[in-house]
Amino acid sequence: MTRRNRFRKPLLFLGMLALVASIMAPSLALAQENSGSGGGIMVGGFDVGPGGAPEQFNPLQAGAGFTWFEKYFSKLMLYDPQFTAIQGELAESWEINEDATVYTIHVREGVTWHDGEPFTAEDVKFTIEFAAHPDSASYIGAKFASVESIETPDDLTAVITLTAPNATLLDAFTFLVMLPQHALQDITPAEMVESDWWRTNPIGTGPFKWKAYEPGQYVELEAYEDYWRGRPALDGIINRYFPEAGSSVIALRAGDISFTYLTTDEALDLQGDENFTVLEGPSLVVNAFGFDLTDERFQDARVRQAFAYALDRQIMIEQLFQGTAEAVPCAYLLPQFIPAEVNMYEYDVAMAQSLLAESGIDTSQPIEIVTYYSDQLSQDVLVTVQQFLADAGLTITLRTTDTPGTYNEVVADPAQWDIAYFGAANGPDPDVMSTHFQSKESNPSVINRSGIANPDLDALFKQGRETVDPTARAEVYQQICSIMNTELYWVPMWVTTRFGGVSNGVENFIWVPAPGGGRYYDAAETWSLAA
Amino acid sequence: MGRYIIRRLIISIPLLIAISFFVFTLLQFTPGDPVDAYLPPDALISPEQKEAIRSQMGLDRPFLVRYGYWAKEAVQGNLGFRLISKEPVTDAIASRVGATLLLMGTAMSIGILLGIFFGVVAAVKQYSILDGMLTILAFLGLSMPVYLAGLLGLYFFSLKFDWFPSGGYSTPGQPFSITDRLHHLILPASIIAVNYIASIMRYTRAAMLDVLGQDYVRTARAKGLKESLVIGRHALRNALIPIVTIVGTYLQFLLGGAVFIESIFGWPGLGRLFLEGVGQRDYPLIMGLTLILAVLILIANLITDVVYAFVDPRIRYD
Repeated sequence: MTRRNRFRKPLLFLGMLALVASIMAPSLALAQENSGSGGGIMVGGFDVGPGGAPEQFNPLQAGAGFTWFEKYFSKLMLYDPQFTAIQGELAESWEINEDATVYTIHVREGVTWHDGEPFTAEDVKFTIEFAAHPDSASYIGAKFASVESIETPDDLTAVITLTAPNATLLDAFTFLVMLPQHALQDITPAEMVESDWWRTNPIGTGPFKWKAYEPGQYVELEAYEDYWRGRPALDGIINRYFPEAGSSVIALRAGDISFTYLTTDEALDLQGDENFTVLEGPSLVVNAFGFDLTDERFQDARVRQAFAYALDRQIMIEQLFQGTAEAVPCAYLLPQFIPAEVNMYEYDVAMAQSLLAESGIDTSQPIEIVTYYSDQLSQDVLVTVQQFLADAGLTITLRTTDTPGTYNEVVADPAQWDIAYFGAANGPDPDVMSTHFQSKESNPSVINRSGIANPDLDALFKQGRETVDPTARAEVYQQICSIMNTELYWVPMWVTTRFGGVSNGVENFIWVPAPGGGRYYDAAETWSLAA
Repeated sequence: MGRYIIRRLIISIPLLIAISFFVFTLLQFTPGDPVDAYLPPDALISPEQKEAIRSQMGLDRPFLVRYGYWAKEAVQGNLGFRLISKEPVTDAIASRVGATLLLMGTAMSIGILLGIFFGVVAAVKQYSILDGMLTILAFLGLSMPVYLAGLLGLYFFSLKFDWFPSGGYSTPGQPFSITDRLHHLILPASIIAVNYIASIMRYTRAAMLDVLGQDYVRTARAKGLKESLVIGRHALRNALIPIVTIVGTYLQFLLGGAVFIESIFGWPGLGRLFLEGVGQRDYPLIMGLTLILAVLILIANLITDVVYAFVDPRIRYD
């Protein structure tokens, strides 16, 4: 009895050692597999950060996540990675008539869906009509509301006629993924909203095709052999989900994933590491303070200007953002939309005080700033703004809502808010701002929470939508920028830089930030893992 | 005993109705609705389109109508669909329940075994250096917030030492294997277990000390029984009664207790699903999870009460 006991302990110990060893083994095996030359499977956190839409699979309804959607679905057109021009994707070329009411689109020949069926102009017609159907409840489909008819004279041509001139339709195409008519024609748009097709066997024309979805964990795609640009260099690509943003950068550093979105702090931290490359670009989102213009305190432009003069934006950019943001004179950042003469409202607290005194505003009344940004950096910004405005004589209280949803509810009701701090997509197409600055009288479906009503802006946005020539069009938006800059319905602050981190083991990798992610050609078929 | 269990089960029915109605009502008062949570604040969408999505989700109907409809379906086992992905709620829960049970089951097993073991050791060697160290460690374990322990654990054991993967449930793209699953399981389970070890150890130590001072223990020793028998059979069995209560109250955490760790480690479990549901204002998911958790807590309490009767012969129902 005692002798057997003496043996048992070392045996148990050895057994545990063996168990531990076998548990450690997979990480070694995996490391070897990845070091093989060519092919390979890239794992990334493609839905981390503000451009991602983790575990949302309906690209007609998702507000973000396009970086990932575009790995298996395709669009007719995409921007270049600098967002300067729109280029063909499934569309080989197109013509637009002079007043932007007829678009003739020539689709590429030889493109096939992942099930082998050819992609044709019929699919274009089907997708637009499907997405624009009210039952699709798609805000992307709504961009095609002005489509009157679509004709397909042959398999490779779609002629789209609009009820009203619309120069922004090309931009709308960079949102719309093409859907296979042959697979979906018997399903109504309403059924499609509830369908599990999106997460079980979606069929696209992208470089990768659907393989597996593990709820809460990842989606796996595999190379599509017959992709029209040629088979991708990678054998597959995996999108891993990170419910806790901070853990994706740990996975990147540990070598478990090769790409993730980074916060500013994480990016500055990773910059010195020779194993990784930090990618960066302007967010294409402008941060601004918007006024509730139904509140008579803010109807006096001098009060809004005083607000702008009271803030030292440069010092906030240097110290809070460590230089990773750029001040803007209006809601736009791209130089072609900025007129030569703009007021940058350089910090001038005396000017702010005298403007407030002139306006006769009752400074004893506290003003509340509401935001949905709960991250530390934004909170620091707001506390600093509070201090600057206190110097100018305004009493500010701050309020952060728990979700964007709550924020939306608050700012929908003028009685509930005074000033809001938010971000709004300001590009690539300048028309994105029309929904914020056009009056409800001119178009009842605009957002325009501030209650802006300026006939000049209404006319200019209309003109911008009807102008096809890029130079003439840019001039229109310069005039808009000029009005925004003097009226200050929003006090524009800055466009921040956003970051991604990629392992140096990935070659030819392209990623730039964009609101909602993607919408540019990232040449994913050329991405490869270094030998 | 049988009649007691049936009586308890019958009382549960009005309780469940009350709980579900209460949660449903609370949800009406949370600001923001699923449409707002779903669309980004700068989504270019008109009020009419928003209204269309809202009515398509059934949110435009009166409150009591919606509750009645939900309750009618829930009784028949249909918990509805998630508002955004349209995945059936029962499917969503079923696909996550295994992961949570595995994680929490492992963590609690480690917690109970080691907790009782260390508790007994600390009690037997009361006021020794070992006891002091275990007590200090227990307080550390109890006072460290679990999300901090999770991040530190990831940082050291995954990033610095590279012993374990940086979260996840399995290696993406690899076929399932038990060693791979264990490799992913050990770190998060151990981190959760720390808390259980610490608290169970404290309770066991106190209960053991109490029992060790009893007359019958002195009698057992006086009879000349071996110390291991005195501790193992006479003292520990009696000390276990309060421990069973504690463990019983932990059973409810089996399914919903690992919200933070599941999020930090990307573990596809129910706690994380719940958090997502709240963030997205996914009413059917929140209601479904609440109902199932309520049922489980009621069952766990019942089991605890029944186990008492076995552990403590003095307790009799009926």
